[in-house]
Amino acid sequence: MDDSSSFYVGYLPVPRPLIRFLWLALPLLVGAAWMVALLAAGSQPSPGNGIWHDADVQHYRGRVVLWPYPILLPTDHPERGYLLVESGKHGAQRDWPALVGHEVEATGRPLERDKALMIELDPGEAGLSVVASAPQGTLPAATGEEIRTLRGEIVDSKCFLGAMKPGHGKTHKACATLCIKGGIPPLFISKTRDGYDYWLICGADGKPLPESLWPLIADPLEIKGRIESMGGVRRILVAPTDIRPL
Amino acid sequence: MSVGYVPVQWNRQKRIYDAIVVGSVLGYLCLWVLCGKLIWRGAESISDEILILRGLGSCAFLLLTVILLIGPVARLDRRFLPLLYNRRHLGVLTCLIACAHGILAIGYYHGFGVDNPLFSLFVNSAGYRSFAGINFELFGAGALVILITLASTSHDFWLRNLSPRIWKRLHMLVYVAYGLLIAHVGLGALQTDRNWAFVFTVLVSVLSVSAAHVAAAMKEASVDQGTHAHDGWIDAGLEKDIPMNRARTVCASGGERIAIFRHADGLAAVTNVCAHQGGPLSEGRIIDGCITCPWHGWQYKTDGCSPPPFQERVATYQVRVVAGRVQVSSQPSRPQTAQSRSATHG
Repeated sequence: MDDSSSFYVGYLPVPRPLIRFLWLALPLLVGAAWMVALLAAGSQPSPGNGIWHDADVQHYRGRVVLWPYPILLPTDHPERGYLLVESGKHGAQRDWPALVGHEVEATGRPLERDKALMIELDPGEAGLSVVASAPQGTLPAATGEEIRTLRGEIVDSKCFLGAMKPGHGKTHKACATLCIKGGIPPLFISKTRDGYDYWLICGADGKPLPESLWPLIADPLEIKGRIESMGGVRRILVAPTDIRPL
Repeated sequence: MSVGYVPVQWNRQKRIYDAIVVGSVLGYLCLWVLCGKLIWRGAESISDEILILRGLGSCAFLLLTVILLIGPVARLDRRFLPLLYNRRHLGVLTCLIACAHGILAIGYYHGFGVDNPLFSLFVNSAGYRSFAGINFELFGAGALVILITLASTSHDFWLRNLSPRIWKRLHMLVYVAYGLLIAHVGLGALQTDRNWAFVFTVLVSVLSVSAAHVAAAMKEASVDQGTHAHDGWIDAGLEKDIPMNRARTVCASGGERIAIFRHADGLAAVTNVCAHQGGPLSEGRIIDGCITCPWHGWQYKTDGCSPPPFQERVATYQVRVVAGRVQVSSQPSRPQTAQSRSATHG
């Protein structure tokens, strides 16, 4: 387009042939960008069906167990155990050994995904207070001795159950590491045809996930361990030697 | 061109340019968020922060792609020069969007925990066992630092004080930023989700930028190969083949490109590099007796000096016509020496 009337200088009036061209080119360019927005935003995969009822404060009564992470077994539904955490990226910071077996009242905001449940406790005593000071009866025993090999990744339970959606994958690695560092119970999640299956993950001795395994959070892994369940919560006990990065 | 510094030398076209760009970006972000919210609703809704984070990130990536495309595309088809005129504002907007993405990512993924968010950026994303597991966020942080540096020094004040050569070299870092951004996206978002549309977008973007640069380079290389010097003079073809008020480019042995303009009073040869941002003067034209750069309209008289009150200069070259063929000296003359038609017609 060498016509002298088409030469563009920013501080001079735009030549008429160029105006015609720009009226065609600019809508095409902007339209293409907006099409990318529609297609790429529309192609995002499902973040899962976890829900965080962050505006819905609930009260629960039940007994506390450490398995090895704190879990509340409700008095009316002891088969529906709730993992307990604090606000932010912090696990529940309480004097757990002194609370185990006692009947307590927990106040906080529930999170749920499929059958997994969690309570984000209110701060301080408002979040958890002892109702009956003596241990109440015997705690349920863990069942199941199945050894399984699983493929998946380690995530933090709070984000995965609905605090952050999606709450898994490489882009979530830093957040998951911070959460688990802060005491949020870790989960091992394994992809299924319909979504994910998941277990609390802890050391082979039943203690919390060893710090040495934190660098593996969010990495694709194959693990082999013993699966147990208690109060509707499942966990897998894994020795570091039975974890293989994929 | 200016004799003093003002924050922005606004004119009507810059306002229109900025309005279109800002409107397009807002439209992009609104479409992204609305579409994300409509596709996944209720229990399966994506977190608002993540939706916005992704929208901002993809928008910054696309804007940087467009910025890198404008230069070579305008070389190949000068009808795209209006997009280049205000490219610096596009760069600053890209930087602001990338900053918003970075701040949101650091606050959301690295905040509320036991570590300082900036410390967490270096520690908690670490995965150095394999290339695929490497900390993708550091690539993004590196790109952001470069974009902030370029946006901060984009004003003509820095261009003048750093010198055009250093300024240009500094701003070539935009290619490093783009490379880091590709690594950030490829090792992060693309590894996490199977979003075919975004994968396709990234691939098309990278291929487009590469292809446009190769095509522009090939066009320039064809000019460079067609020129030969004899006794310090370079043959530039027939005088009548140079369009009136336009230029032809030849290349001196050192690689310096020379623009030879044909105008009402004869011929004038100047360096092809504009003193402002290194724009290709040979792709400009003569307006009101002045060689006018196609990028930002900087002007030079045929003696290489800008018209008063401006004080910019570019190197000039002796030019002569022998037997109807234009010849230009391969060595530059001193500025302010008028080099008009020589009397050596054969």
